Amino acid sequence: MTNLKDKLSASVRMAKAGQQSAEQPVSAPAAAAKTAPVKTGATKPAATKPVKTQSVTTKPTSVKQSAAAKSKPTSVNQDSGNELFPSRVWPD
Amino acid sequence: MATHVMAIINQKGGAGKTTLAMNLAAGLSCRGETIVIDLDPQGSSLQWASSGSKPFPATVKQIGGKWDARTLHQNYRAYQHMVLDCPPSVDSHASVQALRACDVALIPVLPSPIDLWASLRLPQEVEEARKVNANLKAFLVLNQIEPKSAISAAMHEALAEFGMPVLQATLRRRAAYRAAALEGVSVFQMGSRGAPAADEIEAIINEVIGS
Repeated sequence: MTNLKDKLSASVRMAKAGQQSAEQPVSAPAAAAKTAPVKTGATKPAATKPVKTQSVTTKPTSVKQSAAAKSKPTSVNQDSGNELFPSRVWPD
Repeated sequence: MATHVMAIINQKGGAGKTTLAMNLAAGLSCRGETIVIDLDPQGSSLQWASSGSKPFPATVKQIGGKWDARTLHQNYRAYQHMVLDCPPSVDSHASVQALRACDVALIPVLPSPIDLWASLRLPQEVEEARKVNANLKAFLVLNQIEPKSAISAAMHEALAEFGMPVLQATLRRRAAYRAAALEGVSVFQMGSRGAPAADEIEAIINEVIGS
């Protein structure tokens, strides 16, 4: 019984941790960027630099998207995604 | 008098949101005019209320599209109690607005690890809603408890991990709840068959309104 209690509580803690770490990639680059400018000795710009790096982290995704978009016209299965997941307005 | 608004919310489908919403509304209707707002596009509450041979004790309305807390309060201010039956998604417009509009959020959770994991985001969403709705109270409600089952007994300890208050009153796994939905009535209208379930709903109402 106590074993089950412990297991259940542990599973919740694990799921919680998993959820938090899943959210981390968004904040991690910003956190890393925050520490990096301090090493360069910059005093005031330190606060602004992380913002720049955050926008940098979004760039690769936009590059990927545009690359994917470019490949679409040449792709044979261009509409396969739409067939599987037809565009629809999700209800609120 | 201001309408008392309760939102029944959970990320997971099948947690008992509609069952709790409809029976709470029936219990609340003994205290004053009550309306259930069915925010779930599946429209289960509406179907429940319209399938009975007897009239359901609370009004049930389905709303969709964009709305906000203010218009909801304005449109239904004639009612003393409002129960919001939310869709199984905390990201949806309806769920976000429901948390902003309600006085109390009740989160039914089944005694299953999967349900626990799926509900983990709720405390975060409640905190987010409190930025706009500072007086929002939120409680977890244990649903479909089986007293002899070890996992049901283990739930209280596991729910402590949520950092959110848990109602003392719980709902047991009872055929009466399912029969009520099938017959389009509440457990309060089922006589002795529904009496134990009605007592559970009453206990929740007393605990929430007294909180």
